[in-house]
Amino acid sequence: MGQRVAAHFETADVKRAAAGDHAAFERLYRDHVGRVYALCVRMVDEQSAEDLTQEVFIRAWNKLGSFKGQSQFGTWLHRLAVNHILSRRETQRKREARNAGGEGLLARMMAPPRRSPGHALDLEQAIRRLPERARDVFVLYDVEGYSHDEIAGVLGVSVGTSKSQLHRARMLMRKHLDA
Amino acid sequence: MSRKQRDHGEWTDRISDYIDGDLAPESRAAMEAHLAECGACRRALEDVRAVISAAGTLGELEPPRDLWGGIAATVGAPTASAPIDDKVIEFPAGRTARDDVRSGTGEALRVAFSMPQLVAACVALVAASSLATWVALPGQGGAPVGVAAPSAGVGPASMVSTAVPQPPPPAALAEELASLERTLVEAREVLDPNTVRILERNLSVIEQAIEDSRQALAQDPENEFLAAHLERVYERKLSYLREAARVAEWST
Repeated sequence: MGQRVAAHFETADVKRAAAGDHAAFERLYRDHVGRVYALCVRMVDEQSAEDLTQEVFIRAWNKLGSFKGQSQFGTWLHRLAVNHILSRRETQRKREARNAGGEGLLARMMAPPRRSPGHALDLEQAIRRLPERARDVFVLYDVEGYSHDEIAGVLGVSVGTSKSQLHRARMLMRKHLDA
Repeated sequence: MSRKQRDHGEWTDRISDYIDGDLAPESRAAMEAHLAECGACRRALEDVRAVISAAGTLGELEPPRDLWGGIAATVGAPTASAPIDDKVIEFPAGRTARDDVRSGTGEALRVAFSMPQLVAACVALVAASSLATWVALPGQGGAPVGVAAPSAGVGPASMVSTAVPQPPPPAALAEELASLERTLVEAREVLDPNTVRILERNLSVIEQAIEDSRQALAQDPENEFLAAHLERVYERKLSYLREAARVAEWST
């Protein structure tokens, strides 16, 4: 019964939120913020994840009218979050290219995280050490359960590239976790 | 790079395809034959499998602070709502918190709302309802109506039905109210008896408030304030039923 009840709530809340009900939207936020925030942390970093999470939900609010209910709301929101992260990263990349030498988001993303001497990196830290494209594929495939076809569509790469980046990520993860 | 290392790399390059089932049957057989005789590749395979397994266990992460305020400010929502965590206390049924249900860990014994707070909210709702009805209704002589104490005699079968005749809710809410009531009837058997008693009592209080408002409206049908007030009470009932159904969900 639990899943049916949850789906019932969510469907009702999505309809209400689309009609402008802020309380319903807040419930949707509270049900999904953990997954969206985790995605932002893993695909970008902790410093940017809060802003990105807020932006994703604001974007979701503005786009709720276009949600047709053909998929689960959570699936729709997750895809929206991935697209927003990628889009924001591209914007940031262009901005930082114009201001070369700046210590911005992209620079933070490329820098290896600080680590305490003598402590093994945990899984989350190891993910953040992955190169950008390998990290995207690893997070979407091994953490979030996307297929290579879906990843290829979202990232705009071939299925073969997705597979090779995944293998690269896994081998790097092995190395990082073994360090 | 020696030939041996190069050959070894060719095998390790196939590990992900092997794990994901993307190798053709002949390549898979060759890979397995190599694994049978190569300890380094077996270790690499085990390590990668461990990485994949660990990645699959990564769950949600809660932001270090509540982000709703910033979102609410942008989308024009009121921001008075306290974060859910501020409302969390132990629930008498002792079921897992929403996050634990979601992740399947089942460790914590907390839920995202407080039954005493719901009781307090119901009392406040009835008081506010009665006061509003009294203020809006002409000729009541200053006596608030409907400040009825919760019925102590609400029986086990009365989870969502009381002796009070039920006025029809607004059409927009009727379907969901009916569905939630059915859900609670179904869930009654699995809920802690004390929880059932509290739910029944609170629903009785809310429904009494609805009836009082409806009677007041019947005396003054053109009173827009009373009409709006009745609809708000229905909204409160819906909100309460939703929380109650969440409890039922956690308990099953």
